[in-house]
Amino acid sequence: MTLLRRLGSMVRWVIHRDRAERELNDEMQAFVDMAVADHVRNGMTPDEARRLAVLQLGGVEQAKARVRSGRHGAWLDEVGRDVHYAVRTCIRNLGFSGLAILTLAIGIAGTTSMFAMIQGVLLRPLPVLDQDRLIVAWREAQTSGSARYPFGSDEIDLVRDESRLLVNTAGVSRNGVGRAVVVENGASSYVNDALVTGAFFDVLGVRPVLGRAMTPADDVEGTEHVLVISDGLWRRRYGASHDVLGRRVMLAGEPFTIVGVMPPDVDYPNGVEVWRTTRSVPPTGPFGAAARQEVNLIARLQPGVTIAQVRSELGTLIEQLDQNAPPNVPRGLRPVVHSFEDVVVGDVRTSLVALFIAVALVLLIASANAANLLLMRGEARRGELAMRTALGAGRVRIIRQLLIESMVLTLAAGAAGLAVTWWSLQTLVSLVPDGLPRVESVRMDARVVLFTIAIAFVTALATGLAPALVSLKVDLVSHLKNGGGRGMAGRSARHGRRALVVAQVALAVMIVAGAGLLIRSVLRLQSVDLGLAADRLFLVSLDLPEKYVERERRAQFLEGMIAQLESVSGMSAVTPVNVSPFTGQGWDLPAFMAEGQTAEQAVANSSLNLESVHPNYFETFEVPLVRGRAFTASDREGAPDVAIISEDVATRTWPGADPIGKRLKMGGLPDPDPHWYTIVGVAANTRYRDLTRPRPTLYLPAAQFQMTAGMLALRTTATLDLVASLARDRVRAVDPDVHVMRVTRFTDMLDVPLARPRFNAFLLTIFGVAALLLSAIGLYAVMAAYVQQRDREIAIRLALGATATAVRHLVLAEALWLAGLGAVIGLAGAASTTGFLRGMLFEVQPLDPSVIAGAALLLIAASALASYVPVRQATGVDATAVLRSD
Amino acid sequence: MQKLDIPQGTLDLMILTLLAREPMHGYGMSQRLAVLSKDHFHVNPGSLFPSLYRLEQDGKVKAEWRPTENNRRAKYYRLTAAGRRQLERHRERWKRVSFAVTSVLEGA
Repeated sequence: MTLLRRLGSMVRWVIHRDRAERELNDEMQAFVDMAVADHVRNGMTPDEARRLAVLQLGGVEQAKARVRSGRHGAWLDEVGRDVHYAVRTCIRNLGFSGLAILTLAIGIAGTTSMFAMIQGVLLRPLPVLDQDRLIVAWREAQTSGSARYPFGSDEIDLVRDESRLLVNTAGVSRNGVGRAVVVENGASSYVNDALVTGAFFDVLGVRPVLGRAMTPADDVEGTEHVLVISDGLWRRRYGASHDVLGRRVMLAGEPFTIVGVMPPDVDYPNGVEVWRTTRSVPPTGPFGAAARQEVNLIARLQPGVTIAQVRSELGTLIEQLDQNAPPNVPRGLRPVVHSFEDVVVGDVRTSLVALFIAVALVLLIASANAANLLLMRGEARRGELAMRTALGAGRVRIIRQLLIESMVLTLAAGAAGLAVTWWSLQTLVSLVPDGLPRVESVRMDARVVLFTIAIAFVTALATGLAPALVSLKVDLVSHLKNGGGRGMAGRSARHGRRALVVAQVALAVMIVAGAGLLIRSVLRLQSVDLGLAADRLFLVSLDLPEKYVERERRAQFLEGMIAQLESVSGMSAVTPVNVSPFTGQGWDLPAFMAEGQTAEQAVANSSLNLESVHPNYFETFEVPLVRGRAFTASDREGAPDVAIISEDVATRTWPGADPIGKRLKMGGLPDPDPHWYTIVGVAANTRYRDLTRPRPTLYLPAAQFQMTAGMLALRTTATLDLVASLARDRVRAVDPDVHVMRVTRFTDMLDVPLARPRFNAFLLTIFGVAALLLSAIGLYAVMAAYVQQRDREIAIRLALGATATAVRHLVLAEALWLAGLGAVIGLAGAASTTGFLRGMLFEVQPLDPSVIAGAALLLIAASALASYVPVRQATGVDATAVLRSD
Repeated sequence: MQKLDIPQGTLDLMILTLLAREPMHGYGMSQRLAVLSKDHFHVNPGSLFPSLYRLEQDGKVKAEWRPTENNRRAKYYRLTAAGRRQLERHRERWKRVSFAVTSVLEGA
């Protein structure tokens, strides 16, 4: 018989159960009636006949029951009864079931929330066509590998024409998004802009929701500038209005026309609000060359092409590019190729996966707790189970019932967990620091709900199986014989519970150790030596009109501002600044060569962070000069070119020698007519650009190099509000066309690079606290049961003259033995797993002994605390009452 | 007279055989079985109906409510094509089994 048919009759039975039941009744009645009629015909009175018929036929109800249980889907009835029974049992033991549900709900909610994050950020396909066929590439030196060399916009086109493996190529600014000033209706504000080449959207394979994407025809010198804007900006700034198309705005001092709106989720480069072409940057301006020459390659592969194949092809193509390149660019670089997904998701994967593992461990602890509670109740119910077995319930039947009970508990917990997730996801997403890619696509969706249901079922199995198996081992007959009273606890149940507690403690040690490592990292990061004095330092961002592109005018304006502000009392120093701190952005000098170095030696030089600074830069930031002098006003154009290097550059390039008076040049290749910079000072290493590591830095006087600053750094004792109003005042005095965009405390800037580590540490700490609490509850429960079940032994000891202290020690020893064993196993577990966190740690080793040992000690202490009440109870055992009761 | 237990698995065969001749209701079947078995078999509803319902679920028989000759309402069962095929198979098998058993008993 086909499965379909079986299913059909099952469904009919379930749906038309009432009718089927009525029919069965009628049929039985007809059967009896006919028998009676026959008897009457044979000469009996109707009464006699009926009595005889019923007697003969007997068991009408049994017959019906047998018919019912023979039906397909009859088991559904039984399951229904079991569920009904389980729900009733749960309600009857509200304290027990409440605790179990709460425990599981915490675990399920945490796991589901993290899954939703992972689903949104990592698993949901990127909103591009065939993301597996997209790659992002740049170049690196063969040896050092630290400096990234981008491509030029022209080279991108050459690569496309020459390649056999790439369908299409585009460039995207290698620094990700930048900040540009937008002026619209006289008001100015910032947007995050990304520079891309014309084929960018063709390569990605995304279509605008409104208007058109940009095309290679837009990316030609001298054409009208166009903007494609993000869904977020469209909604926020333009109220999702269709009139936005054709709108003209001034961006970075140039006129643009908005031509299209991208769908939500298109967030590449991360945080982008407007896309514009690299050639919309004025070629003669300070960034003209950089915009055109510093793009990463993004390309679409022919179907079936692997990254390794692309890498080798690009290697060949780069050699061709080298032949046509101007003499001063580095040669012999190797291509670095990443999948698009890796570039978008980046290092977030590590932390999300680590957090997910941690929360899964919490769920495991919660399951162990629930299993423990079920085991404990199973013991209390051995009488009931023995009775049911005696009445003929099969073992399968009893296991099914126990599993259904745990299923009812976990499903209730799953429902609660889902509700909590609904709420916690919103909180979580709002807490997520800026810059987590794709966080806007984190939401509750069908897959998240399915995941919750799946995890609830797995949890039900995990929690229900142990109690069910233990119930099999219980010798029910002997249990009934000895009166169904207390008696010795089932050995396997007791061992099972102790093992569960040990496992809980071990898992909790692992999570707490992980949280400890992250917290320690954040503390280290917060207190790291910046190499400059962050207190009493403010940054003022300015929107400078187009006329200040001209170098002399900008210099004049900046000098005027410095003079205006430094005349204010309480203002100790003011200096112009090019880029915000800790954003990772800035200027790179990929290679340099010290006088006397060969090309081979120069390859080993690190790439440098380039700072174009004013004379009072070091004074304002209080960056100590360890040797030589700061720049002065006389280091101007026409004077000998001078430079200041950071300490690490000095020690690496001229080990043991005095670098003052030495010379270096940009670029790593010998040059017939080198442009030398003479070193006049050595500054302390700073973390201005990147909080996690000091960048080897070359400082050049702005007057001799680039005059591009659009920010001012102020060192003053004034408050933030005062600084803000002061800055507006003085700016207006110098030039009313200049606007103050933002005034920030320097210390607040630290929040940006700290946000992600803090968030990770915060989440893992929550998980750690949950793990700690859950395992403490678990230990408490087991110890309470331990005391309860051994009250006879304790009573005998007391009766034989044991002191209360001795009894307390007995119980405490058991608790500490369990916790200690768990802690030791947890130590081993932590030691072997914290390596996963390496990428999230800052100046803390994954095996930091104080953190890991601290976690173990914390768990032992918590366990001791959790067993306090049971230990007290042990001495409260009423010896006489207990001994009499048997 | 001592009633016999119906051998395992043969009740279905007997039900199908009865229904092969004409549609019948449950009471009729139990009476007819008693007569045909010379009163050796007594089938009570507790065995008859579970078998009937199972055969119905498996599509071997079909049932409908009809008036009886005495103008009562009763549920009449009739054989389906699948039931007829099953009857052929079972009858064949039963013949071989009974022949084999008889041979063994007589040959011993």
